[in-house]
Amino acid sequence: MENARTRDRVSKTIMYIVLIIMAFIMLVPFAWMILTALKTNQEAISVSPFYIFPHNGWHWETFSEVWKSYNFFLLYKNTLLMIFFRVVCACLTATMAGYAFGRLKFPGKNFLFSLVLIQMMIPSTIFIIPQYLMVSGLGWLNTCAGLVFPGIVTAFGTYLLKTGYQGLPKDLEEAAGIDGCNIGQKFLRIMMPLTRSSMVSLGIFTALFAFKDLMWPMIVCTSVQTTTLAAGLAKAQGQYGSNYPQMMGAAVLAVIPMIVIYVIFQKQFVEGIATSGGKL
Amino acid sequence: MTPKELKERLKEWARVEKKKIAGIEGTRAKAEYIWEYYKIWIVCIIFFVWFAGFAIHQYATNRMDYRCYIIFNNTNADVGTDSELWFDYVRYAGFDSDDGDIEFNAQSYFDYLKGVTGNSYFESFVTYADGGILDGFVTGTESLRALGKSGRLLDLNSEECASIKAKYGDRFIYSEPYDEDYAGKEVPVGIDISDSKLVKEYHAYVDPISLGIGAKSENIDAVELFLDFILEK
Repeated sequence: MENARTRDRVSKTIMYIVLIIMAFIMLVPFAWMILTALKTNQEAISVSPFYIFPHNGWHWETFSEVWKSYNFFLLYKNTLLMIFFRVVCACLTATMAGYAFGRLKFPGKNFLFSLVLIQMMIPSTIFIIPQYLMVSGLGWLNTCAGLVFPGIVTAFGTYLLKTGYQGLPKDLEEAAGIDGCNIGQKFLRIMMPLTRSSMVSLGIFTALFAFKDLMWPMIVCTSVQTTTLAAGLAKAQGQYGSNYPQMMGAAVLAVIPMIVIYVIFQKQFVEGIATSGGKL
Repeated sequence: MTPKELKERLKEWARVEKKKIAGIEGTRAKAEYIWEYYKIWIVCIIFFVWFAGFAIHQYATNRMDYRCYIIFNNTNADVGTDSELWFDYVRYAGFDSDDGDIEFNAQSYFDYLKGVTGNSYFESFVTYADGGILDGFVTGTESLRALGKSGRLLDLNSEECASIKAKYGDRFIYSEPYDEDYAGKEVPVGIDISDSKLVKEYHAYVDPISLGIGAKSENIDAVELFLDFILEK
């Protein structure tokens, strides 16, 4: 009995040590990023491993300099608007398409759904040229609508929501039908509220992908007035190519919105990963 | 469900609904019934009709193409749109600076010689080049020479470049495209502009640089004007 308890305690201690080491490894890049932002450029490029902390004072002014030179308020605004509209559009279109594919019977359903699946199998970069030409044709270059455009519909979301709808019992829909609901009402009042967890997962994934999306904002938004954080940071890499504290300062400011969103929606993030089986 | 079955079902549904609506007294009550039962359909149809109309109108009236789109690759200098270089060129070419169709893109960083896999800037370049947006591309001479192999830069021996060839033929840099048609044959893919205003006056580059023209460019005259401007012809 005593032996089993000791073994249990030892295995738990080893597990905690391993987890602490893993957590530390995960946190090192973030710590390095913040510490570099607070150093002088000379300290930042020093190869000495003992230059972990700034030696010549903590340069908090880096953040205000980067904030001013990059108009971070504008970058935050553009990024959050893009994320908001992409999440709303993706959830709206995916839930409708998911319901149609998951619950309705209509001619050509399997063919249409296979088109959705094919879209998931093809690298997204292939769609960039036609999408760019469409956005350009619609006069949406350098606009929020142009940024949102590729996220209006989502093959992954349609698949996720279809699976969600298929998992719901048929009895619910049949009972609603007996009560006089038509298809629209069954969808809106009965089925859609039950797929909330799938929609939350989709919203989280969409928000993350939109936040990380670099190429599309870079292509459609050449103006500083409409660009996003990721594209703005890429520009910082060019402009401050040799000024690491400025680059890291910009990077720290850029991750703040995602950290705030993560802290607020931590539970949903974890549930989202569990529901969809995806990775972030 | 077969299309025939669907048609029958829709017919039956329309018959039942017509009967139901006819049985409701008062226009307001009828409208309320329709709204209550079919609001999703109504909203979706209105949205799609609006969007289709908007898209057709935009495609018909919106000018899609840039008059001149030049990418300045691997420079940290401020030579993008609204920079001094941009204003000077627009003035020189006699374009309208308010039109917004002259674009200088200085946010591009890749070297074709060093590998470009996963480089978003290169992928943007490919989008612009393959989409027919790219007119001019300025980068290091050796990188441009390597890029010339990809076939994304115009063969300057082509007919539409006759004027450029007459003026700047002695500055051409050559490359052998991967295309089978060009096997063993070097073609001019760029113009050496290392001694141009871009280096001397605007200090955008230090190393030897060249300018290539997008293979699908339709604004070669604007690129020629740019060459005249920076080479002070």
